[in-house]
Amino acid sequence: MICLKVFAIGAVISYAIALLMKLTLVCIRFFSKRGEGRAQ
Amino acid sequence: MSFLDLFQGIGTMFAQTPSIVIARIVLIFLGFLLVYLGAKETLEPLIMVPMGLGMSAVNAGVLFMENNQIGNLIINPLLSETDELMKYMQIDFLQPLYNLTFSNGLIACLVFMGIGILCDIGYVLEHPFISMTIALFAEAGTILTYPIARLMGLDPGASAAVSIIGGADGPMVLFASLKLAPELFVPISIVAYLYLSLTYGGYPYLIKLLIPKKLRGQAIKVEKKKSSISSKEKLVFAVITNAVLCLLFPVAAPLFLSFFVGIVIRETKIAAYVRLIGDGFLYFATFFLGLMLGVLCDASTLLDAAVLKLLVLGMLALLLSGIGGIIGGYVVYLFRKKNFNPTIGIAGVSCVPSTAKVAQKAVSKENPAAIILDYALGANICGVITTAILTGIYITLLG
Repeated sequence: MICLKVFAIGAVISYAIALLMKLTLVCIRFFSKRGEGRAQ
Repeated sequence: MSFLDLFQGIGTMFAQTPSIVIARIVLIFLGFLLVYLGAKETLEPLIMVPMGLGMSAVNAGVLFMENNQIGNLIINPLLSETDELMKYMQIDFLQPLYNLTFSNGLIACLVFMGIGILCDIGYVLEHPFISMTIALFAEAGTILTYPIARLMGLDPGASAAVSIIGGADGPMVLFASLKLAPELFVPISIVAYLYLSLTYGGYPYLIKLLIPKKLRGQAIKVEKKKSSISSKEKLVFAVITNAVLCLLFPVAAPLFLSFFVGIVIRETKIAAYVRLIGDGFLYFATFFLGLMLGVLCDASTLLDAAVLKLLVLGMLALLLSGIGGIIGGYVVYLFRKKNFNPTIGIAGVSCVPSTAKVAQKAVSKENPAAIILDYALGANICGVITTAILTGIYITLLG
C-alpha cells in the first residue's frame, strides 16, 4: 500500500506545483501590467 | 621471488575462489566493452568511458596486502571503522573522494546543480499540466516496481531505492539508495547508471512498438502564439518552489536545493557561476562519478545474490516507466482531441535531455517538419521534479 500512498501524495503535490506555476505567471503578469499602468 | 609474487595481479587469481577469478576476468572485459561502446557513443560516453576503465583497472590491479589479505590500492568501499578509514584514506588514492563526495551524496548534488543549469523551465511553465501529467505517468516504474521488489524478498528500503531507478535520474538513485539501503547503494547505483545509458538505445524500439508510424510523425498545431516566459517569471517560480518542496520534504532538501540553485543561477545569468557549475562542477562530478562507479565494480562486491535481483528490477523499472510515459502521451493526445504527439510521453522519463532527444529523433524520422522538442523538454524537466518529489516521499515514509 506504500506505493499507492507515494503515488497519491506525489500526484497531489505535482499538480499543486503545476498550479503554482500558473499562479506565478498570472500574478507576475498582473503586477507587471499594473506597474506599467502606473508608470504611464 | 616467484613469477606469481612478481606479478601479483595474476598471482592473486591463484589464491582466490574460481567464481571470483571468473568474475574478475569477465569484469575486465566488460570494462573494455564499456569503453568501446562509450567511445562509439552507443552508450553515454561521459559516464561509460571512465567507468569502463575503472572497472577493468580495479579487477586487474588486485594484490596481496598485509596479513596476506587480498585488496587493491584504489578504493575500499566497505570500511566503516574510523581508524581503518583514516589509514586507507592515506593509502587508496580514490578513498578520500569516495568518502567525502560519493558516500555522503555530495557528488549527486553537484550533478544535480549541473542538471539545473541545463534546464530551461520556461518549457514547463508554458504547459505545466500537460508536462506534469506525462511526468506522472512516466513514474509507473517508480511506483509499480516497489511491490514487485517486495515480492522478490527485498526489504522496504532496498525496494524503494531500486524502484527509483524508474525515475531514470542517476543522482536521485544515488541519493535515495544512500538514505534507504546504504548496504546496497554500490550495486544499485551501478545498475542504475548501466541501464540509464541503455535508455538512449532501448527506448526508440519501445516507441516503435507502441506508437504507430502515422502518430509518430504527427505535428502539433499551435492554436495561438503564447507569450514567451521571462527570466523573472522563471526565477520567482524556482525560488518559491524550492522553499515549498524543502518545507514539505526536508529529507530531500539537498536535492531540491541543488536542482533549483542551478535553475536560479541560470536565470540570474551570473556568467561566472554559470561557467563554474555548467562547465566545472558538472563535468568534474560526472567524470569522478563514472570513475568511482567503475572502481566500485570489484568482483567480490558484485558477487552478491541481491545483484541479480537488482539487475532484473532495474530493467523492469525503466521499462514500466517508458510504457507509462507513452500511455501518458496517449492520454494527453485524447484529452487534446488528437492535437498531440504521444511520442512525447517517453520524454516524461526524466533522463535530461536524453529522452527528449530520443522523442524528437523518433518524430523527425517520420516527419522532419514536426518539432515537438519544447513539449518534450517540458515533460523531461517535470520528470525531474516528480522523481524528486517521489524520492522525498519514499525517504520520508521509509527512511
